[in-house]
Amino acid sequence: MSRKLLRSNKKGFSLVELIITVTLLVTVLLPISIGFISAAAINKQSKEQLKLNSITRIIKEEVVDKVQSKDLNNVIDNTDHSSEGYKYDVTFKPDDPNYQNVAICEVKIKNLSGKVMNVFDLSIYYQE
Amino acid sequence: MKKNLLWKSKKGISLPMILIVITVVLSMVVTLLSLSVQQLKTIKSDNHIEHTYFAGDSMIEMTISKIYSFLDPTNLNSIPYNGYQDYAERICAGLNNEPDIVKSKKSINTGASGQQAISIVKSLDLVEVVLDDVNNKIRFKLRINTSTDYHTGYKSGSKETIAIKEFEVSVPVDKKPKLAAINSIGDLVATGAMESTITGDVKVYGSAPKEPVKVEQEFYGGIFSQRDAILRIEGNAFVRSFIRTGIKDDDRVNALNEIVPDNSRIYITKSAIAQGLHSFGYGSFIYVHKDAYTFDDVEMNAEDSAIIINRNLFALEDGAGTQGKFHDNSSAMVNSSPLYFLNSEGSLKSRIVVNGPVYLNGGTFRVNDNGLLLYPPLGLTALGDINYGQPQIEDGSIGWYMEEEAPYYTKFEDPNTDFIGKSYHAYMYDNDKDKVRGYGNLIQAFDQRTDDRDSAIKPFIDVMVKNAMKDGYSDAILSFIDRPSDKKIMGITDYEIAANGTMYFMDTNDESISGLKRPTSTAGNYSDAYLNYQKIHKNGSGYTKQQWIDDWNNAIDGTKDWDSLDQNAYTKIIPAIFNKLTGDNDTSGPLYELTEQFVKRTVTYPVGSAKAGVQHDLVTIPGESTNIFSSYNKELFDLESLNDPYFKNVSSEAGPVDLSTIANETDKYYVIYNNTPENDLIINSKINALIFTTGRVILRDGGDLRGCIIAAGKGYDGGVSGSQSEAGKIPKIDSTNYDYLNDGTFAGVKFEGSAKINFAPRDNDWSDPETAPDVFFEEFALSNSPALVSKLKTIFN
Repeated sequence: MSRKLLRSNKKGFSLVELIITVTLLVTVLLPISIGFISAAAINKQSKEQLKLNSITRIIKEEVVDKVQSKDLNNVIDNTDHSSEGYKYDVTFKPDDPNYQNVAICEVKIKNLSGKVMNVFDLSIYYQE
Repeated sequence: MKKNLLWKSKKGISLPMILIVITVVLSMVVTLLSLSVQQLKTIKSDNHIEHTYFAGDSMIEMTISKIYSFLDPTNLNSIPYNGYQDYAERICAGLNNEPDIVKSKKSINTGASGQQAISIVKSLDLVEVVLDDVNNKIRFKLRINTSTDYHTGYKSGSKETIAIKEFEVSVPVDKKPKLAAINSIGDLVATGAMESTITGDVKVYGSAPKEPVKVEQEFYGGIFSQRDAILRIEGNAFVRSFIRTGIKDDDRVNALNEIVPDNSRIYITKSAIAQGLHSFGYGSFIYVHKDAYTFDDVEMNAEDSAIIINRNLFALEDGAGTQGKFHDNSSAMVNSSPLYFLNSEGSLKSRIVVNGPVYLNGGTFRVNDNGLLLYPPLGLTALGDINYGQPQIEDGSIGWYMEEEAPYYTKFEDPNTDFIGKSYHAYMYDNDKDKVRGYGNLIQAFDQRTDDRDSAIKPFIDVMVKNAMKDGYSDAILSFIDRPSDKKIMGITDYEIAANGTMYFMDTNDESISGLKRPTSTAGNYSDAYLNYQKIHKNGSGYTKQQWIDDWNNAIDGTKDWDSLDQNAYTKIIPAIFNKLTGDNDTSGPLYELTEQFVKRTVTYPVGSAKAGVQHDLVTIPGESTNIFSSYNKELFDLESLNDPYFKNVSSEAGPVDLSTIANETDKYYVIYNNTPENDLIINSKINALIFTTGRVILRDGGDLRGCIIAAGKGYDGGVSGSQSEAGKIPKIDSTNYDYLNDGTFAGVKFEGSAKINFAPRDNDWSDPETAPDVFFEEFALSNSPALVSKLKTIFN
């Protein structure tokens, strides 16, 4: 009965109905889409941050080891972690006269395009 | 009706459905977004916290820097050394008192530039201390605990970071040990009829037997008074060998060919730390006004003689370990005189007297609960070997068996048959408690004396010695000297103590005292309530370290006639004793060190030989190839370049050097330097000097030295040539060179007549600071050029 009615309805959608429908669809689907895209972007950022946190720990240990082994050239020059997508700079700051044999340095972790991703200071004791 | 309408309506259903779907999907999106944002925040917070920990790590690194700065040797000079454990504890305490280390807040850069965390070291604790005596190092671990807060966009909360780091310091073998009145590698010998006084501490290393496993204790030197000599030390005595009187089996005879009594005396007005206190001869006595600490026995092998300790006896060595394989490294209190002299009248009068608590960590011959030797001689391992199983009376002996009227320190029961299934000591208690007595030792039978002035001590000693040596054993049974009150007796021991006319047995039922055993009910005259520690036994509860310390302190407080006690000394000694008892630590070590200023002695077992030997190693300065004595030698020799008229190098003089002609201005102070060991330096008049010699100093009648002596003594190298400050030349005594020990050839300082040395003792006890050198150098400075005194202070301060 219904099928018959549908097929027998010869009026179709009016333009107004179509516009309303499209408008409604756009109004509803747009924020949904943005939401999904944002979530995906945030997740990607989280993933990168996790990776950055992980590499930060590794780099921190690496810098401490190099300073304590007095491999100072290496600590400045050999800072490439491009396989993980990062590199870092180490800048030594003036020594604190209150602490003998303590190197104070700033470590900047950058991505491969040079953007600074993380910055931290370290004080490291080294033996003469 | 409506439901039907809804389901049946063919119009308007699409919009509600769309709204529902949209709502659901939007909710999901919002949730998803919220979760993602939360996750990102968490991860960023994690990064923030990471930076907080980095700041904590930085704080630890900076603290380590501060610790290393604190451990600078020049900084550590002010920390007294009384053993490595104590030293590490003092360092840790010092670090905790440093205002810039513990409890001091510090801002630490972390995160992006300019951002700061606040960190603080909450605590610095000592975790472990190890002595590396091969490399002369003390290694200790410190636990550093920091707390850090870091607030920017996130709050980290207080994050704790803990690190345990090992640090290392050199054993402070003091390159410049404080001077005592006598500082000698060789013996201090006083011989012949005279009375000599040393005002000041005495540090003597002294001779030792070539084969220490044997029991020829007459081969030990140290502080050695003989043949009527009266030696009075107004100070402390630190001796790696014995403090002894008399020559064993002395054959000195008078015109009537009668044996002449030894009659020698040694008075020590403060404390004695020595391998042992030992008497040979006849009519001699040793008196220690304060405490005696021994690594070996307090042993009586003389007739009509006494060894008297006015305060406490700490017999430290328990006989365990390699060095305990011979009885001379097990500390006991042994009156062997009646056995050695076969109950002669004189031997029955000899006494060992201790007026204070007695702490006996060793025994006459170390035995286990079954009475078997803990360390049987090499090669004797079978139970049936007679030398293996000779049950002993421990630890204060000897005992007197009433039935036989004979003294024993052994009771030859057969361990295979007589006390199977029972502790030997329980067996002995059950079977012998009514039969055995102990007369040779008197513990706490006399009140301690508080006055160490000569005028006060001498009459007291006369009374005490007369009482101690009063009558023989047989008479003593009937009329014993004044008995100590029940509550007064204090002490600690492993097994039995024969003393006070009775026998204190160990409490064989008391197995709950954490390895400590106490003498308990006595045979004969005393009740079970006699000993102070009965209350512990009756409670049936374990006896803790703190209880013992409390008891000890109560006893101290309750004994009003004691000297004003050096609480610091007790604070150090009591934990040390308990460490020893519980096997945690070697507590005698620090006391050994006090007696090994120039030379360290060890017992060795040469490869391929079952015989133990003695090894003397000159104490080297950490990080340097030279030893302390040689260092003094060089530094003093260098003073010659000052061309000071009061620096006298007598090394090139021929024969004995009479110092009265060298240091003849009695209002001036001299430095006498002698690097020729064959040159004896003779003092027979009044002189003021610091005397250094690689040989020997001899004081004769009229000798009066204001100053001090550093002497090596002549060594032997197939004879008596060379100096004991040369490696390998310190005498090892056996029958071939025994006479050189007895006649003072090996001495660093020898008194041949009545003479005096006046330096100054420490204020009160052995652990007090040594101020005498400062006073001496001040006087020195008044009479001499400042340059010479300034150099001397550099060398010795």
